[in-house]
Formats: sequence, C-alpha cells, structure tokens
Amino acid sequence: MSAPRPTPATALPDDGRTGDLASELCARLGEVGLDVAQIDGLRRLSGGASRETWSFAAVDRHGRRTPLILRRDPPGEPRPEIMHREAVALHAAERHGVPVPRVRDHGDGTEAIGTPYIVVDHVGGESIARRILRDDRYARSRARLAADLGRAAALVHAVPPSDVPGIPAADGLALNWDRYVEQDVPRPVLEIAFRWLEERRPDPVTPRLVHGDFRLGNVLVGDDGLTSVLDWELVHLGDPMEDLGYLCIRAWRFGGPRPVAGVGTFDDLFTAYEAAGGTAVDPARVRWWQVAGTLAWGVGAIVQANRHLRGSTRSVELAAIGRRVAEQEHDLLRMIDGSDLA
Amino acid sequence: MIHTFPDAREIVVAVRDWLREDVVTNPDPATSFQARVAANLLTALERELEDDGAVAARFAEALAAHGAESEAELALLLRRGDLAADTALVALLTEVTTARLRVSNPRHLDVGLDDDPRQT
Repeated sequence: MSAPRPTPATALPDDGRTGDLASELCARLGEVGLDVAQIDGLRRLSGGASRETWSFAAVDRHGRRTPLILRRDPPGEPRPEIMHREAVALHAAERHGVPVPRVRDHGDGTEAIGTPYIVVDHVGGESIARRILRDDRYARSRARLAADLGRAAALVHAVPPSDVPGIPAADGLALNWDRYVEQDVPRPVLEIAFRWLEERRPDPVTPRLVHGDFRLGNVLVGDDGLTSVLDWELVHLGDPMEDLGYLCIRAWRFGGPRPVAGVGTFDDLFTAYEAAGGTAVDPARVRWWQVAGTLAWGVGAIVQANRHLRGSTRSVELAAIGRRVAEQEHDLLRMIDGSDLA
Repeated sequence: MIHTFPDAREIVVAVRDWLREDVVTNPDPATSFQARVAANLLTALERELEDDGAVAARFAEALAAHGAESEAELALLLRRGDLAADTALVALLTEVTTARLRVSNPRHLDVGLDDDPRQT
C-alpha cells in the first residue's frame, strides 16, 4: 500500500547512484529490444513511499525520446513476487482496454537494476490528490472523476482471471488480518472491527480481477479526466465491490466533502460502473467493503509507521502516519453500529 | 516541574516555528516536504502537552478493571473472546479515540458525513 500523503512529484538531489543506474537502464532496455542510445534526465520523483519512482527518457540514435518511468523496490526491501504480479496484471489490463501505462520491462533485480523493478511508459497526468482536488486546471476532471473511476473499475473487473496467471485468489479480510497480526500492534478498535466484519461477511460471488488499491492517489488525472490506473501491487481475485468500497473510504477523499474521491456521489460512480458493464452494484456489499477498506488502511498506517519504528526506512513522514491509525478507528466506530455489537 | 525555562511546550513551539519558517523553504522538495510533516507533528505534540490526562486516567482505570496492563493486552482479550465489546467498552474506546484525534488531527472529528451508499 502506498503512503497516504504523496510526496511531491519533483526531483530529489542526485545521491551519486544516478550515473550507474542510467548505464544499467541503457544496457538493459537495449537487451529487451528498445532502440536506446542513451538515457537522459534520470531523476527520482518521490521519497518515503513504498517504492522508488524514477523518471527518464530513452533516447535513440536519431535523438527521438521515449519518456519512461522506473519503479523499483527500495534496496533492502525487495518484494520480487509482488513486482512480477503487478507486471503481469498491467499487461493483461492493457490488452483489455483498461487505461494503464504500457510495460516495457520488469525483473526481480538479479539481471539488472539491483532490486525488483518495472519500466513503464510515462503517462501524462497528476497523481497528487491535493492538486487534483484543488487546482483550477482540474475543475473539468473533478466534475467527471467519479464516473471515470466507475468506468475504469468496470474495465478492471472485466479482465478475465485466466489472463493473469499466478494471481492469488485472496480473501481480503483474511489477508488484512495476517498483516495486522504480523505487525504486533494490537488495538482494541481494530479487533472489534475485524470481528464485526467476520460476522457479517457478504455471500460469496464469482471472483473477478480486483485492483486492491483503487483510489485517488493511485490514478493519474489529466485536464479531461482520468488517464491511467496505477499501483497494481495488491491486485488479486475477489469481490469486485471491494474496489468500489475502498475507493469511498474517508481517507481517500483527502478532505473533500463528497464520498467518491472527495468530489463525486455514489450515484455518479454506480451508474457509470453499471453502464460500462460492471455487475449490478449492491450498496450493502459496498458498505461492508467500505468498513473493510477503512480497517485495511488502519492496518496500512500501522505497517507504514512500523517501517520507520523498526528501522527499515527511517522517515518522519512514516512516523507521522502512525498517529493516523486513530482516524481510521474513529471512522470504524462511526460506521459500525454499536447497537448490534454485543 | 523543574524543566520550565523554557518549558517543553515552548521548546516544541520554537522548533516547530523554525521548521515552518526556515526549513520548509529549502529548495530540495523532499526536505521541504518532510519539514512540513515534522512541523505538523510538533503542532500535535504542542496540543498533547496541553492534554489534562483525564481520558488517559479513565482508560487506565478501565484497563485495570479488565485485568489488562496495556491497550495491547485489552486488544488481545477481545481477540481471544475473553472480553466482549459491550456498550460501555465501545463508549470508552470512542472517548479515547476522540481524545487522540483532538491531539493528532482535530479536523477529522467532523460529524454528519454523507458516507453511506445504502442511503442513496
């Protein structure tokens, strides 16, 4: 899961590794069939999140530039299976018309780049929620964002699972429980929420491809709406309503007043989703996933803070996220009807 | 209280203002961003230093009454089913959570959100 407060999409200073990385990228992209004579403008775009993101252009012998993005695990925190799964899912999503960046190369780090990585086409658009929600240039996009998200979700859910070999059929709640227990930060409100959800599980459905982290902050938005769905690392097979519920948790409104990405209504989202071929929306099921999603982000906040507290990535930003667990607990207590607890 | 000149709150405010006025303007965007986050944390810490501790005291009493030495132990009692989440416990946890948000992010305490897909 990504950090909740995106870091600025501007360059970090050269830490001395940039030259080596550029030569490696040049050699590797040549091997996988890209016409590349040199790498230009390599710069790191974000710090502190769960992955490093680098921007660069592959320049061919005639000076033609292909703008690309490298995402790689922080050295010391490699997760090769997850990177592989993301690459396979992106390929399948692209084939089935989901707006995603095209994958150029990926690997586990043993042959190049030193850590699991993926190279994709650079797609124009803004990912930083604060800008999408407040800047004038995105006013048109804001008006259509909930519908765009509904259409994109329907396309994701229509990707045939057989096209994504090796994808886990995940019980979202069970996975989240495992993550929570592994963090060893037991919290009474989270225990109550897990039990509440367990006792009210919706009926099983035919599993679909589920993005798993479908929200503002993980999509690119241009001047005329959504341009790309990013961050597929939690992709799995499951209940498609999971993506709709998670999209609508309070954290992903970034202070905006409306339930869908801070700017849209449930009606905008559900109508567009169904019109684009999504299964009929069951609001009660969406609600269950909204509670589960709020809980998932509560656990995610513990995971992020522990990355700092356990020392794998020291960061004041990650430390700050620990205090945000209480925000999710507040929302959980508000959503869980106290009268049916006992 | 012997550490009073300046006291903890005054030190927190001094560091916070330095971060907010000087470090945030650093041309390196990552440093500027982290400074903004750090300044916000110190603003929360300033509020924490003004907390009268009343909710924490009630929470400690309740933990003791349930035979738990910490919040984590209380959570594990719930996990094992040795303790049920009754109305009184949920009310107390709500009070604790509210007290936390009053320190960490008071704006999150807004109520009356249009939040439920079943109501549309």
